[in-house]
Amino acid sequence: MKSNNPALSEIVLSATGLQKRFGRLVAVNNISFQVEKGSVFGLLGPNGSGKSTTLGMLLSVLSPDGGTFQWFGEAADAAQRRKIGTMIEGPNFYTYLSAYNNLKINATIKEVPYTDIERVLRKVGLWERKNSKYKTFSTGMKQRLGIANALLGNPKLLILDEPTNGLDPQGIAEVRDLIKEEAERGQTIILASHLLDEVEKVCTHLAVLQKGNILYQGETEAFIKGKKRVEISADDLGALRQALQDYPDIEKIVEKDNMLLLEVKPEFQAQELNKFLAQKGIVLNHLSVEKHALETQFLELTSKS
Amino acid sequence: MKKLLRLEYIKYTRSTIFYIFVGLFMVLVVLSEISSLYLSNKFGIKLTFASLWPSLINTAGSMNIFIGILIMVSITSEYQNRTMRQHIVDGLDKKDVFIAKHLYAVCLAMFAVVFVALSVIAVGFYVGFSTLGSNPFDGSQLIGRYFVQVLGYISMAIFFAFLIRSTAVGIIVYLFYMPLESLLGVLISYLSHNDTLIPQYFPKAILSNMVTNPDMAKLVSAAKSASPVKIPVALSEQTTLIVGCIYIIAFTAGSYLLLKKRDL
Repeated sequence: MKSNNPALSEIVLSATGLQKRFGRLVAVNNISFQVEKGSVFGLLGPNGSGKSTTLGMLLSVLSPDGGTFQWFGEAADAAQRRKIGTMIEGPNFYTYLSAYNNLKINATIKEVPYTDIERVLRKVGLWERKNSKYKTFSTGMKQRLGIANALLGNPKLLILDEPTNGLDPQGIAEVRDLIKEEAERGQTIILASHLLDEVEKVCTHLAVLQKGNILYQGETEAFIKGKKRVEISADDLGALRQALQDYPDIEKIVEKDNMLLLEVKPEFQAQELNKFLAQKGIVLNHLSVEKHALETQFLELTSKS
Repeated sequence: MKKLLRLEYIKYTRSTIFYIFVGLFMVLVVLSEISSLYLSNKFGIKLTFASLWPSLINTAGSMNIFIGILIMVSITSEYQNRTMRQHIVDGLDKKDVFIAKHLYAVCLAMFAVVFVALSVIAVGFYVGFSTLGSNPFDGSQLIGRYFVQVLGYISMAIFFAFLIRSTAVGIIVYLFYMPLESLLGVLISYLSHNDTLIPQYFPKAILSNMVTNPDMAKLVSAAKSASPVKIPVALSEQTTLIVGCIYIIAFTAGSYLLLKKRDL
């Protein structure tokens, strides 16, 4: 996955041919992808598509059955993982320890000064609750503590797996704002989610996973802009349909509710079509161009496979 | 090493379960020593420091199971709360996790040894030096064997913890293993008409025989010579120690392989 942005040239993660089986089930099937510095990379897929398994292999908690990967251009080891802030499959903490002591454990592992704990707890709004035990926290607070844990020591890369799981709308908005804030200051982020809306709002790049296979990888914008749908109508629908047969940028025409729905190529321009039809003596009474939302694209892509 | 010790320190010095089990161990060791002393007085057994050390260490040895359960809970709860997984993700190696748990285990074993040693000396003060002899460390060399015994119980608990990964099931298996091994030993002895030493080589048998009570040994010996049934001789102290150490190495190696090979 190459970006046009020259700033995004350093490869943070490079995975080649990753495979994982659980008995007969192929959870991840020979997938390869790269994540560039400064990008927000979304791993998008329904539950059970292989997102968490992929992250599990990349973070050495699951052994791959095949394939290789590198972090920051070097062989993956514990020292590389200390440069990564991670929350996968929910926040995992000691229930009897306070927020502060839980972060102290990660700070000890990452060899980060304990003074950084205050910074990250303030960032997620939990500094006032630093001495409260983890078991007394609400779901939203637990999730925020998980993010604080990931932010500890200013990691070179953030990996967040379903960071808004179980949160109420306000909690979701707060967590998304935190992610956006990190992205805006140039933080590289890998975000695994089954929420299309989340990926669309936050990610610059994405890989769509289904049943362990990558169906698409590239820029999010390109994925969404890949196709457009056009609604068109005229008094004489038959003549309109006939005229459209000669227009080059149309891939498919479907008649619905006294209108024609057109699947068009990315280079399609509405004014060019209007001009073309006017030259053929057809006057349109309706023309609307609908950019495909990620959801439409995603459903289309996954239904094909 | 210092980092791993610090990690374990943060986790367990704030854990209620840690204090409950350590407290239980201490209280029960003291109670068992008092009852042992009471029985010695009742049966008119003349105590000296040379017999007090093995007698009390042997009695205290039955409480090692609490240390074993404590270490088992500390490992299985890390699996169940996924904190071990989080440590790997955050930047520890599986090898680091393994070493950290064993450092914690050795610290617990050393604590048990020091506590038992102090309690024996305290009993010595209570009974009086005029009765027990002038040298309070006469017989104290057995504390080394007690250390091996505690480590043995702990390494077995660690092995079960890495194997089973569930706190409840792990404790049940650990506790039920002890009588099961005894039953199996009885069965094997019965089938071989008491002509085999095999049951004495079983892990629990080796560990519980690591420190023998001399008074009890005398009674057993007398019973054996009086019995018409052939009873196999006990393993030598040296054999028990060597086989005990082999078990510790085997359990430790097995635990490491389990952690290394399996997904978290």
